[in-house]
Amino acid sequence: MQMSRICTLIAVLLTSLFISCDKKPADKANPNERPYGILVYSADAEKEFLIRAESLMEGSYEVPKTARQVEPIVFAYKDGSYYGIDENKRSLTRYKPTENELVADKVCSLDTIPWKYFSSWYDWVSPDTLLIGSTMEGSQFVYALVDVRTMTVASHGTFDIPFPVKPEYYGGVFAKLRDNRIYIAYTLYEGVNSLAPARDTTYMAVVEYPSMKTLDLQKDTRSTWPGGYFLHAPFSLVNNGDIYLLTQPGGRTHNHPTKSTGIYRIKKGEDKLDPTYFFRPTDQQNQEGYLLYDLGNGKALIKMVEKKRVNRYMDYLEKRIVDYYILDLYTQKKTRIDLPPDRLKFEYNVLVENDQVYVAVNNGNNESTIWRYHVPSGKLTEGITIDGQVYMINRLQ
Amino acid sequence: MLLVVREHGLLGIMKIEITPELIIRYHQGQCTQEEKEVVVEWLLDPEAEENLHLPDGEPELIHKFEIWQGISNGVKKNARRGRLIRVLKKELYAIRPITRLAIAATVLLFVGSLAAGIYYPTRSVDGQVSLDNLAGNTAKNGKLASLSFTLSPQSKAEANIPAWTRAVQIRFCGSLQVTNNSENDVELVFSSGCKKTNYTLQKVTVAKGKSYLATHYRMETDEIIVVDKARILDLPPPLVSQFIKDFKLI
Repeated sequence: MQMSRICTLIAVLLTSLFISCDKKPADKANPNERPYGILVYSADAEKEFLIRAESLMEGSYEVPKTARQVEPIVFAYKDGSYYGIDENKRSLTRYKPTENELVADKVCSLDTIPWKYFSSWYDWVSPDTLLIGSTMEGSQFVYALVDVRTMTVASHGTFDIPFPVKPEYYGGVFAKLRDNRIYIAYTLYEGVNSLAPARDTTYMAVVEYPSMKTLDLQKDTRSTWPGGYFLHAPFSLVNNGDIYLLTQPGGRTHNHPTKSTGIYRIKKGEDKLDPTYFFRPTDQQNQEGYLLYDLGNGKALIKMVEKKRVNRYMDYLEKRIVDYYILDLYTQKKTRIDLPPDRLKFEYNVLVENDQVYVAVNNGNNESTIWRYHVPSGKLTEGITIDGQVYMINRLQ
Repeated sequence: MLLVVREHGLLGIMKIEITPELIIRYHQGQCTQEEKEVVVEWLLDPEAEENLHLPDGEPELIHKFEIWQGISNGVKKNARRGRLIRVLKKELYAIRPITRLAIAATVLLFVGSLAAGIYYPTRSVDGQVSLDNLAGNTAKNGKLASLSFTLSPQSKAEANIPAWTRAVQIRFCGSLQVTNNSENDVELVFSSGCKKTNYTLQKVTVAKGKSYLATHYRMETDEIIVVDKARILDLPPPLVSQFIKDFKLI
């Protein structure tokens, strides 16, 4: 009898222990306690996962044992939700962050609409409406409007933009919605089995929204390869209503022998590439620029590659070849930040909070360090280290 | 997931240049395992002979062949050992020190690999396979033990595992995908089987269940590009379209 009581007591204690452990992860997902969401890939653990951090400046983070694989291609975070696309399942999924993972909240099927991940883009029409677009692997511009409250496709269709003539494809892709216009820029290049440079021309269609009627098609030869071909990296920004758009005719995208990285402007209230503005932050011989992160107040961050560090394509993937520069879009000047060299990754590894810019830099192994840069003073401070490669940083709401 | 993120899985790939210093360090036993295998690959690669820079008229290939032949015969027939040693000495002293070092290293490696073969009697993959899709219009599949291959149209490939290493040697022209279906990590060494010979090797360690893509490219120089299948967007844009089409990716 005595033994039986003891056994019962032990059983009750163990059960209560398991119950309390089980509750732990979801209940602690309080943004106020751990306000930063960091998506990380660990080469050692061979998985992508979410880290919730109290601070970006103190401590270090390893792969949590409870970390679960993040499955989709996450490309956006807005108002408390992450959004990811799974091309194989042909679905757009909304995720909620918990303490240590992204939990699928609602799925929108893309099964019945034309969609290809390669060479795609997105923009927000409103907090409730997501506009996603694709070039269908360089052959046709299509779009879909998704109501993210119900996660349903509200409408979809094609843009009236001239088709490329074989053997050419659309190359580079930029699209931005402003007021009742969508500006879509691209170039043309020969695709498979051709290493011929892209055309030396940037094309830009001006499309009326929501009628999706094409109003104008412009050409500009100051640079080429506008934008990129990634859904999940920034190539443009809006400052005081003016759109600034980066061109990337470098070896990582599609090398052009004479055209250099540049920034076009589409002025507020005007439907054209501003002929009076073209910011060339570097020359074609020495550097290539990639990605444009909005710092606010007419400033931007750019990843710059010294061409002398690149002798072959694999150098883009293996070497730490990137320097970070602050661009002043008004004065057209650039200032190098004294950060260690980084790998060239097309991702959201930058977070801006007021005057502070947080940049996650790969340390040349399976580890990253987040640095804080104070824009007005230029002060640089080393922050947390993370066991993995950071590809998205957000302040969770 | 994430195309973005799996990008970072490329840490295993590296390029090691063959230099006289490397050969000397190899001979002195001071090389890392990766360096050892690159040296061995170089020594056994017939197309690398032109890089030995022998004096004019030096029949290096013939020397090397005779030495190998001599070793082979000597192992089988002890009676011919004396003559073999004389041949070896004569041949070895006739060639440059650096080449001598290389040959000595080859011999050491041969013996070492035999020992390794005894020490590691089991392997996750074994044998060899030859695939030809030069005339094909669609991708072609093949297998080598627990590795599966998908070859693009207008491509060919040969894969084998030499006795002296556990790394799978893949010699190819065009493009291919390799998937590791075994329970272990597998090391792949990609070399070009195209007519041009100035491509560098690319090595990668493939975890179980993962796939890698390999292709030829020219930005400024001819090179072999190897990427994790999950990071296909790391490829140059024209190749992304091609790979999506050939291998039904993304």
